[in-house]
Amino acid sequence: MRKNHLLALFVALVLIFPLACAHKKPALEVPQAVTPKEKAPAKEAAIPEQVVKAPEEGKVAKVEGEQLSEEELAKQKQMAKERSFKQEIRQFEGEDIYFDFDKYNIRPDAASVLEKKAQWLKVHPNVRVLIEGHCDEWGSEEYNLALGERRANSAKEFLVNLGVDPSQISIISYGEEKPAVVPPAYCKDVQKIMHSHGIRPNHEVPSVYLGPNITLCMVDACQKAWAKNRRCHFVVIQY
Amino acid sequence: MKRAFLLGLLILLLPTLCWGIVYIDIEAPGHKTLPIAVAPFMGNPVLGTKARQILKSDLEYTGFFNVLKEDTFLGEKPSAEVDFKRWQLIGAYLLIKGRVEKSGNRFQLDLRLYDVNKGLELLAKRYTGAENALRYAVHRFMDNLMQVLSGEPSVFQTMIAFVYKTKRGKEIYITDFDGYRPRSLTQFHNICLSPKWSPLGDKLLFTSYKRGNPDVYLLDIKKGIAKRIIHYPGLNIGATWSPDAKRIAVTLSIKGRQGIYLVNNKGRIERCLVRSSGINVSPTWSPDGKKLAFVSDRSGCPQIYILDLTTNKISRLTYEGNYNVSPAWSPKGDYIVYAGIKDGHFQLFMIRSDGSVIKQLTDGDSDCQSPSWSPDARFIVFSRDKRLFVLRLCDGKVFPLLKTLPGEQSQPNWSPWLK
Repeated sequence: MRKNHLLALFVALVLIFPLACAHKKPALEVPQAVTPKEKAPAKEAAIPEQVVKAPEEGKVAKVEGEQLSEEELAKQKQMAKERSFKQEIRQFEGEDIYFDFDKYNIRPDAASVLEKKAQWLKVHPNVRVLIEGHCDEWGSEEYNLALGERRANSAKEFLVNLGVDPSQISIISYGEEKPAVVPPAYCKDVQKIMHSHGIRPNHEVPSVYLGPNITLCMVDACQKAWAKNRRCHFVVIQY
Repeated sequence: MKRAFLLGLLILLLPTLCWGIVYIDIEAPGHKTLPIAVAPFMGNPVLGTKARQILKSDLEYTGFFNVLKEDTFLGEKPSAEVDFKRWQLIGAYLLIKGRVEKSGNRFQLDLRLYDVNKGLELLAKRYTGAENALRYAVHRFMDNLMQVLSGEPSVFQTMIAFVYKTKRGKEIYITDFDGYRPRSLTQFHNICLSPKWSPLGDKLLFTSYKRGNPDVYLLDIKKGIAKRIIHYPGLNIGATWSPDAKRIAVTLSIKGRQGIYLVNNKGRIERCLVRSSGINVSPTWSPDGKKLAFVSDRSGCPQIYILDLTTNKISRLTYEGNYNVSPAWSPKGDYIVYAGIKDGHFQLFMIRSDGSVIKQLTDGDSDCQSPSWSPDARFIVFSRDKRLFVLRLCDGKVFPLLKTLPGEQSQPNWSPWLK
């Protein structure tokens, strides 16, 4: 296997080498001296003198009413600033944090996301944010409402511990009511298989357990959907 | 095999679950049904057929009667006199005779219940009303009949509230005990959850996100008015009236800590009952109002606990399984039904309130959740894979509640006796 790789590399090099050389060739060539065809005239003719001035520093053209354009400029600047702030908000809202099944502790991957968010919130103390706690569809509705609330609360506490003003953060739980991803219909069957073998939603499913209509790919898709629903979502409600 | 075992369990349980009446020998092993004949009704044939059909399906709903087939009947001259011999011969123990007359759009319904062997009239009732109330007259007679035979009315004048998923959210619906006429009580176009009846059956508590936060609303069914009554920052869920209707137990998350609080009917906090850094949810009252069962994750996974309101002591009730939720205390006080994951599926279990006996009530490949007792404790309504079903405890039979309503249904709650 390894030998084959080396051979291929060698062949490739052999093929590339002449090409690379051919490319470089003109640089190595020595320019030939040009032999004048005619003898130079004995006296040089007078050349009319030309005065050359460096071009003046260019000015931006002003179109009617200098005052207004400056205002507009400020406006444009403001708008650009707002645009980039809105971009920041989108970025802030776009990143969810995820949890393990039936858990509300902050995972290391979530912690690094929260650190970024805390930094941003501290720079923008006027921003108020709503943390939504969500759950997957496993479990009872009421318990999941409580669990979603614990998740949102964990996220809030984490941000406050990083120095974010608690008054900037409010929380809400939606339990399993607003999934980010609606799992495919076959996930009901996948859930049944996992249930009947006592496998938790985030654990691996041995392929021997799968029926004729369920593949590991399908299991994977369901687990991904569920995992995406065990989350906290962040919404900027005021800025 | 498993099913047979379950049936065996239920049979052993029969004496405690089924009614102690003179008409059924509760000491006899096995589930016995009483043979009953419903004679063809006299009077208006259209209304008569209708009323008789409703009566027969009500009798079958109970699981205590063997409604005799009409082709075994020997026939009887339509007269006021009852020829008990002719009914005795076909094996009937009980007999119901009826007459319904129609004038305009009103009916008059006479129903009589007889003990065939003793030749005795046990019950005679006359009902009048508008035609669309005919089925409710029959239901009322059925509760009278159950009162006479078992000493207690059954579920014939009760309703079931539930959550119904619509295109624009989840709304609160109610239906008759038999699944007749499901109708919406809210049109919030939002998420509405966990309906709970008031002890008098005139109001419902539920949680809705109508104004953004999960707040508790009080719905007056007759007036058709919903009012937001518990709306603290954070969670306001699982609100349940105390049996005396004076207080409400509810899960709130005040200052970042989740707890079960006692609030008055206006939503003012009276005291905190349970509080911890974890999850405390789904309170259910003992019928004497002295205890509260609830779900907590203090052991690391959801389990059911009981709080003694007089001593403030909390004790753990469930130890089997690692996901036990949705407790509902029996109106008789002896058992708590709950949903727990076993062999990977949500099943219903019944545990004595002292934790001494656990019985598995459901089996199979589907998830059974959100159980709620009928007021006579003979039935449990629950959701199975997002559809509602009724479990009849005397013989373990499970039947669908809403046969014609398509779509997702969940969180059923059985009303108290409605008068």
